[in-house]
Amino acid sequence: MNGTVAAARWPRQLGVVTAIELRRTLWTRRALPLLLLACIAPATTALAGLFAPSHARAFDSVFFTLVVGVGVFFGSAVTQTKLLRGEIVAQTLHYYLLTPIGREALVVGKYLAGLLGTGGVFAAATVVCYVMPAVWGAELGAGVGPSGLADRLATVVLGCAAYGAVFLLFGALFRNPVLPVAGLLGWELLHFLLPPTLQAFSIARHLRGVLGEDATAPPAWVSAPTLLALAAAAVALACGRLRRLEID
Amino acid sequence: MSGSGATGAVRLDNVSKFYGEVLGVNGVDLELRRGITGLMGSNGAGKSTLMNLLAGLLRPTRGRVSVCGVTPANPRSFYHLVGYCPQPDAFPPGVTGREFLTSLLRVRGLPKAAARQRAEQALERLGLASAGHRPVAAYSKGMRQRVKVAFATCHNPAVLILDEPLNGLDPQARAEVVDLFRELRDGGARVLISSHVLHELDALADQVICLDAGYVVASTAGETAGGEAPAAARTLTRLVLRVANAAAVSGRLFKEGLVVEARLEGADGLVVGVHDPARFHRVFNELVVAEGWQVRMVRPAEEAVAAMYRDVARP
Repeated sequence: MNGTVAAARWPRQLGVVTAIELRRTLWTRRALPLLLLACIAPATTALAGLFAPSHARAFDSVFFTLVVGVGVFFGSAVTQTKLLRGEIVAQTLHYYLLTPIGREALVVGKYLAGLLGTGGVFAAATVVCYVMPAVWGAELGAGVGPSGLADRLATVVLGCAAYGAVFLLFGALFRNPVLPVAGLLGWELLHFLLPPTLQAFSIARHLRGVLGEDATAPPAWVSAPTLLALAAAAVALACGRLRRLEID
Repeated sequence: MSGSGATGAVRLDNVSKFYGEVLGVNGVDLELRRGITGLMGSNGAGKSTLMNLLAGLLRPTRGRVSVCGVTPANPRSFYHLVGYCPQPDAFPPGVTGREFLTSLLRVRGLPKAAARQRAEQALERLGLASAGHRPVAAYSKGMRQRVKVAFATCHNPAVLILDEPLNGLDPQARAEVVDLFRELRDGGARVLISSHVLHELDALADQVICLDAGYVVASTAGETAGGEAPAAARTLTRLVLRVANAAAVSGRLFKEGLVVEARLEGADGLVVGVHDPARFHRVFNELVVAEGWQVRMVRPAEEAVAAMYRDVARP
């Protein structure tokens, strides 16, 4: 086959894989845990509004813990680890591997689908949490202005990008990705106990830097490129792993 | 038809596959002819390993696999030439037969409308048109098997690899699928089929390869569709001779290098193994005239695939 034709074809193939996987991520039973996780923060905000309407900072309080710490982390884990490992276990990945698509395009397409799915769901959850205080008469965003909302949406998207890439890599590398996911969770929870040099290896710390509300975290202009570089490196490693993958 | 017109060879050059210290296949030299090739062997003989190597899902530990000179390391070209019906009976959850084929045809690079049309044709050809809207998970075993065959054939590959494709098919579906394989063969494709149902292979295959413990232990040629040069497989044809003074004849045949094995049966019975039957018959006839041998019969010892299997496969 003409190499130019093959080269011209891969962006379309990438788009097709992304569309197929996005549909599977959001419109099959696979979406259920993701959607449940996305409901936690809005539900908590709603409860706070119902039972403690004077709690003016409800949105601010739930955002990092519930949206990023619980939602984005576990949502990315259940979504991205399944994209490769789930298909390997279910013996369905070979259908893709038997089509004329580069394995790198397959990995990137799956990653983008996971990113769009988790990023979209948790960005929507963030917006719902932002709007909700207005329902019970409080200020929109409970005092967080539009630029604060933009910071939070950027934090969600970068969190989905970084955690998602790492979890995709876990799915490519490990038969059972639960243990490395648990390890990363422990690292993220306890990173503040570590020396400053090691704290630099925490995704959560850099996400706090993007949010810009933690004076001890790196500035956003350092954190955002660091998270993107981490995501790119993890996806590249996953591509390398899939290139060597054998199916028997 | 995109690929069936391709004339290049399907080659395995000294291919070995080891899983750690466990042997998958070893030292396989094969060139698949045009037509239908049957692959048989007992469980664990290496059939699926060989097929996965040919399909590029496994990488050989040693040796090289190529189709028309293209190796699986170049998937963008390789998988236009090759179609594979794998053994696992698994599909993505929730997908319908039509969606399954359409989506994978789109991954192949077809525009949406063309992919839908091609998927519809494949479903029609496999008798699944009316079931295309139903989830594959709700299909019977035979229907799922046909979806896999549709997946393998929907892009009209030059080389079709089918791992036990007739499993679970009812007689009518079996006949239709076999007709499809023959149609592809007649269109110039090379078809490799593994099966445990030996009489089916016997009826269907133009050539049969027998694997045992990871080695190609025998192959036989029936009527070849493409009329190409014989496969490079280690072919052993056994012949039964009834000839006076069989022991002396046997010695002479060895001396001439015509046979690689011989077994005396009674006073005038001789079973010989030959690698080149055409040369054997030519030289043997000359010797009969020159030496005045009294030959009462020469016939193939094993015409049926089942007999070959019994003969070469380990118990």
